[in-house]
Amino acid sequence: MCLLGGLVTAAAFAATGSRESVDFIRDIRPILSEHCFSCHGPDEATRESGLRFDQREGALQAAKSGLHAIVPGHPDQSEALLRLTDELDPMPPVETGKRLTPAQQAQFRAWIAAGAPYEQHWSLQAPAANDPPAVRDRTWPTNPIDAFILSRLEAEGLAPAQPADPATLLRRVSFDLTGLPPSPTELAAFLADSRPDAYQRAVDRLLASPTFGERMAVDWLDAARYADSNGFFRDNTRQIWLWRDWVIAAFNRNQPFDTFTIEQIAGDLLPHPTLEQRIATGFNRNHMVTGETGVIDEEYRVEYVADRLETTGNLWLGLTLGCARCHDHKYDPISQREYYQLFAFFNTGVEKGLVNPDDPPPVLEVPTPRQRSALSEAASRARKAEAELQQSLKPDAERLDQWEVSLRTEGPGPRRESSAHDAAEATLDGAEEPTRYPRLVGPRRHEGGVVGQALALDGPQHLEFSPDLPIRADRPWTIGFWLNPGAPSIGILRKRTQDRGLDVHWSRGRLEVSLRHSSSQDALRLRSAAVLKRAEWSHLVLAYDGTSRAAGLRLFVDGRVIPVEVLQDALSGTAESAGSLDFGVSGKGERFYGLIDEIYVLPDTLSAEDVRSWYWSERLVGVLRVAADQRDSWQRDVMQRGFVEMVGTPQQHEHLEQLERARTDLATLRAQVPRTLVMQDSSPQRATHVLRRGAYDQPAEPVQPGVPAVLPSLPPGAPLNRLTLARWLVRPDHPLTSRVTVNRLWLQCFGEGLVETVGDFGSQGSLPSHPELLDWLARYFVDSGWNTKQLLRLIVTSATYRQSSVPTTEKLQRDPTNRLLARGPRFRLSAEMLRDQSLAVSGLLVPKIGGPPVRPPQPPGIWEAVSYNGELSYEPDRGEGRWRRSLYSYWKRTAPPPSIQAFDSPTRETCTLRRPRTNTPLQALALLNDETQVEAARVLAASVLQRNGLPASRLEVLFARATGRGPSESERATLERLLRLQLRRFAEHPSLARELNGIGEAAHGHDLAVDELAAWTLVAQTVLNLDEVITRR
Amino acid sequence: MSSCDQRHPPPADLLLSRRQFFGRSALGIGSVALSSLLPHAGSAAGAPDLSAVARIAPRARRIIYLFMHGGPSQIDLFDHKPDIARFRGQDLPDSVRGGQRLTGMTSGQKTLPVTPSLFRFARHGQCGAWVSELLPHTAKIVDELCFIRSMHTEAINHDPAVTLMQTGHQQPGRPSFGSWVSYGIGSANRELPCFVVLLSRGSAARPADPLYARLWGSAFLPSDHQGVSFRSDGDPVLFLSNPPGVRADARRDQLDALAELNQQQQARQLDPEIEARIAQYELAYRMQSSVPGLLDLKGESPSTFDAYGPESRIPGTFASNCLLARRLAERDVRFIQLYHRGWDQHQNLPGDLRLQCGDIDQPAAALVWDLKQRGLLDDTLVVWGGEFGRTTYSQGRLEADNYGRDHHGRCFTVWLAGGGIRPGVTHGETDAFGYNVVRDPVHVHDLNATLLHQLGVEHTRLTYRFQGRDFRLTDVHGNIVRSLLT
Repeated sequence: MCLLGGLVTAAAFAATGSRESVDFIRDIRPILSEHCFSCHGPDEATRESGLRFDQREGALQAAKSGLHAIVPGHPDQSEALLRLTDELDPMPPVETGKRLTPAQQAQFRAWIAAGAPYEQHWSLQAPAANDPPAVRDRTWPTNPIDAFILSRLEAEGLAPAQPADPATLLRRVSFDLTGLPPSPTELAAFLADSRPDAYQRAVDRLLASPTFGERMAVDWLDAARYADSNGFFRDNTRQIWLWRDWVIAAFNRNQPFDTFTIEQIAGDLLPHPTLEQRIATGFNRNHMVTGETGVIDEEYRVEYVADRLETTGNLWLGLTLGCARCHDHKYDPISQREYYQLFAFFNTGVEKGLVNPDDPPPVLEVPTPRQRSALSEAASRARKAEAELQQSLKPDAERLDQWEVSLRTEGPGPRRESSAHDAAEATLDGAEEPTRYPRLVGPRRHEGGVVGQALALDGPQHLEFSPDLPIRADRPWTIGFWLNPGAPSIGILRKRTQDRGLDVHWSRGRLEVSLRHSSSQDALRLRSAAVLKRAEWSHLVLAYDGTSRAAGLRLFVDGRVIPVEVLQDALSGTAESAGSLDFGVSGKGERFYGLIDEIYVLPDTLSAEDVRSWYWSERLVGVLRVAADQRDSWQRDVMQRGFVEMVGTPQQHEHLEQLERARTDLATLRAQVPRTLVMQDSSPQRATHVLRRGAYDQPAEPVQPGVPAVLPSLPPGAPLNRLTLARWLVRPDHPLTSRVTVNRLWLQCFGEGLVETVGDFGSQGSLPSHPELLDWLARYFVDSGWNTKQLLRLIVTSATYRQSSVPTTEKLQRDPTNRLLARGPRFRLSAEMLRDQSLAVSGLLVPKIGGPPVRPPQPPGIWEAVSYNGELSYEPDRGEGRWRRSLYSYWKRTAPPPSIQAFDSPTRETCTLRRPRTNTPLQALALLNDETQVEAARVLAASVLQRNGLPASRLEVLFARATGRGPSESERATLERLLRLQLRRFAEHPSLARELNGIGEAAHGHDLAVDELAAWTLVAQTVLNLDEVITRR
Repeated sequence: MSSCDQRHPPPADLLLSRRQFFGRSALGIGSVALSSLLPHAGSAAGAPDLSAVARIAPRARRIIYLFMHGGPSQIDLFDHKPDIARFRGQDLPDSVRGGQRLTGMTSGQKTLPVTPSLFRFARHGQCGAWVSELLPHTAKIVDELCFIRSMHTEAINHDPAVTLMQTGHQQPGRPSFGSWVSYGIGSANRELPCFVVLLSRGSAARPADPLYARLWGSAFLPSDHQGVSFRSDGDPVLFLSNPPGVRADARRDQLDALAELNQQQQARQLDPEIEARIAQYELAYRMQSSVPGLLDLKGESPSTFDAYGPESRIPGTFASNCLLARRLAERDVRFIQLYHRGWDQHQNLPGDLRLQCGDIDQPAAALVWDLKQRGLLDDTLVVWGGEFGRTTYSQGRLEADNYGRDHHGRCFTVWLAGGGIRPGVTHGETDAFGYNVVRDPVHVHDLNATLLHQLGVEHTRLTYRFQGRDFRLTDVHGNIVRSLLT
């Protein structure tokens, strides 16, 4: 089982104490967990022979065979031990491929001989109150951390390393705490600071910097699986960046980890929650959602709840709760029932499994102060206009009544002979299936419409009308219908054979109509901006006069003609098509998502007047059905608008116009208001059942919310909701939360946790390298009031952290992975740090904090290659969006930012607590060739060239900007040689220099000699690729 | 990209051994990459106890996976059901459907009219396999193919179904097939990625369903095992080309200087990662010529282009990708994954399916034939298939010359060729309606177990410990379908 053999091992548990004696937690429990628990463990359903090894009682009982697996004090009577070496019927069984090593067998024997003592799994016991151990070298430790580390080193006969040199140390701690290198000024100030607490002061400066929150947020975003898109299938965009900004701000104000926890898990349930506390609950909305037509709603809703539980379990508890979804946990004492008790806490939301809109509800609208005042100004204008309108309507009450009566008499519709309406209505309303046209292709679904029922289309369906309808260039015709789009991009209408005929579609906020006779030349094409609103009914009328001119094709929305942009006005053919007239699909095959109602096809063109009355006659059908004194404000309002528009006085018209303008302003302002996904419980609360095999459609017995019996219990009488769960997680005596959290912070500073399996503190997880230290830190953290900055300060000011990372040959051989920390930690910078460093060193970095995601350059074609029908394109930002810190880059889950992905970032689909660190040629290519990297090198080169001085001193500056130190003689010689070579090359080929200098948008250096700038750019790039620069040492 | 065999440069006593590396990267103790268990890979020094590990002689060195994204209609292509002609238009009997769940797209449909294929079927080759008229070229190579007509999956929608096929789990978070192979066996070619992905769009009028990076992602495996997408536009591999104005000679100068400086750093730091980094920069430089060389089809003979069809000259097409797949196989790339999009024929199936088949029929057949000619089919396993099949009933109205079919997970057809798979075999059988498997069912996990087996990998042993559990491609399932093997 142990791979590290004779080296220092991860079984470094128990820093002190004899290595000879057998320790249950260190030596025996891992053997049992790995080799025995899956058949003789917590899971009752698969337990063999009635024997379980996870509890002493169960292990000592007679098995079904009557034999005793373990007889304390008597190894030779213990069946379990005998079976380990049984030739015929060994344990574990041959087919598992598992076998105890002779050393493990000896330990097992010794343990039984010692009476087979059991202990609760280490992480489920409260952290012990350890005093820092005594050490021989009293001069080295600067704080208690060092005593724990040194004590173990002394036991191993190793000495700590020298302190790192100041420049290296400042760079190390700057990256660990802020994700950025120190600026030249910061470095110079630090090197010049001779006060004894110079380093502590530097640490305090870093902890107080707003960049601290940004650095901390990256890890939290990985854990929370934050992204700017929904993830499944079409991977639509979503807004939840306000939550991301909340996280940054929370770290910057050093919000105690307990309230940081409570607000994210249950901010909405706090008494009188603030806006910020509600935004914080976005944590549990970061999971992926699907909009794939045809998925079963409940199946995915259950997955979302499971995802929340899995994430919470990993991040706070270090438990792999997901293992207990289908059966009792195989290794840890969590039953399937307990899994669903925890599940119940998160099974309370109003959200759906199948989600169509971009921002899956519930969402919160969060206007900025400026937006708030603009909104209130527009609202008061609307109120004023409303009052004036009412005033002007007062004398007309009688006329309004008469008008209502006339509407009832005339009924809805365009008052014209319709070619298609009656038959269409049978189809739209869901009455008898007509034998031929119009007919529905695809499954039928209905929702309430403008008049009666409307047809609901969700992609696969469309509605076909007879091909014989004379929709062609040389005849007048009118098509009118209501539509309520559910997606940002839809196909609406077509009557086409190949390229010939009519096509109407709406994409990216534009309505496009074309009538073609041949593909590109002989056609009439119109476009109109932003006329339809998602999830709202609009009445669309296309009225054509048969003149083959663009002016002859008018578009009306809600009874009013809308302005169009004429893209092409060159139709001469008939555009006659033998195809059917299809609603719900475009010529290109784009589908319709949403509702459609009241289709009319008329063999005539209509006047504006006609269209207006048509619109109102249908718009008001629903309202007319309600008695005048029963109408709500919206219904009264619509009625009055119709009256004014149709038969009102000029003064009434004017007031109505003012009112509508104010309302449009309000709507425009509202659309700009940022939204963010939040938690909101449904009422009444949904019941939770155990799900057999974890399947959404296999409910078994109902369960109440609760926590696993092996952990502290909930306070009696507390409401069983997320708030109680959140408070329980951060109970001071909780054995897991504090340990798991300090371990993650340790990982951040040392590149490795004290427990390597940062998300698994259970039976199968690794043991802590320094268990007493872990416990001490956990208690320190809780006692400090869950003070994150204070804990980080303690860690980074320890002598342990401040050691040089240069090993000795002996240390490399004895402890290749540096578990003992006889030297400082070193590892490659993260993806974000690498990019941010180049921006910072060059001076390009825009230090703005927060806001909507940005789109820095990336190679073209990446989104098109995977998106639905290739319809999404990545449009890089111009200006500052190119140079923001990487955590603000738009994160699309199905195609994450490539320069970030090349360096081991997760896809943000599931909770990730630790990124791997690989070393690949693709990383070399990304650092050398990515546009942002090349641009940064050029800007760095330009800034060096703009200084006075000899090439040698410029090189020195350049080198120091990236590394924090001056080059050695031989390093300088290497770079000078490279510079000479490149100067010669670019002097010979100035066109190459111009090409290189033209990369990126930043103007820096364009006033310099082209060959010089290009040559220095390549030198700068080389320096930025130095191992020393891309590694934090 | 994977660099299992070159992660660390030549042995130095300061370096982590392979074994330690994997122990570490596995986030814990006990996980060992199979690469160190296979006889042909890894050093023997201090190797773990292998007595309990089944060793299999690999029959295939590599896989070419032709993934028909969207769910090709087995009943119009391979699974011939002439007897349902007499039930045409009648509701599918409840006894056949057996209460199985349907997607939200047809669950509300009033009738499920039985829909015989419009296409003619004939028996082909010595094996007499049934193939429809839509695949005339495939029909010519049936004696090289092994048809599994009894594939089945629980998933009924694209995202979960494709994710299951490619990662062994319907929900995200598991490594893809190719990344498991990269992790387990590693690369045989130091100059190219271990796992290459090639994408193409179909000709069907219906919009193509989306793909997801997770389908070639590495999830919790070290990220150098993720698939590398070779693109037809711009850089074939992201960031492969030098920036404009930087020629190869200038880049060489840079890398020489970089190596010198990094070596000096290594002398100060005693860090094996630095040696590795120098090696990766050199490998990157070599890739800058090896990848364009690979993609440059100029050396291919006209007869080769003829064989793969006219589209093979157009980069980014499935035909061109098939030709590239052969070139990648020749260069010993381990896992070559093609995705062809647009197989989701909910309506207008007759028209759209014809177009889709037109994209893939000739090149897929040519690929098998070409591999055979070059002696590569013996150790290359070609897989053709999608994430599920399509319903025997029509989605929407059944018309004289038009119909659509919804997703169907209860049965679908996949074909295999080469790599120690029995040629000329048809495995499994569906019921008279082509709805349920009635003989020799093969689940997705069974297929994956079998494919791994052919690569010399025991699927239950290729594990990675993550969050306390030993994960594998086949989850806790999978039986090798031995009757498919030579």
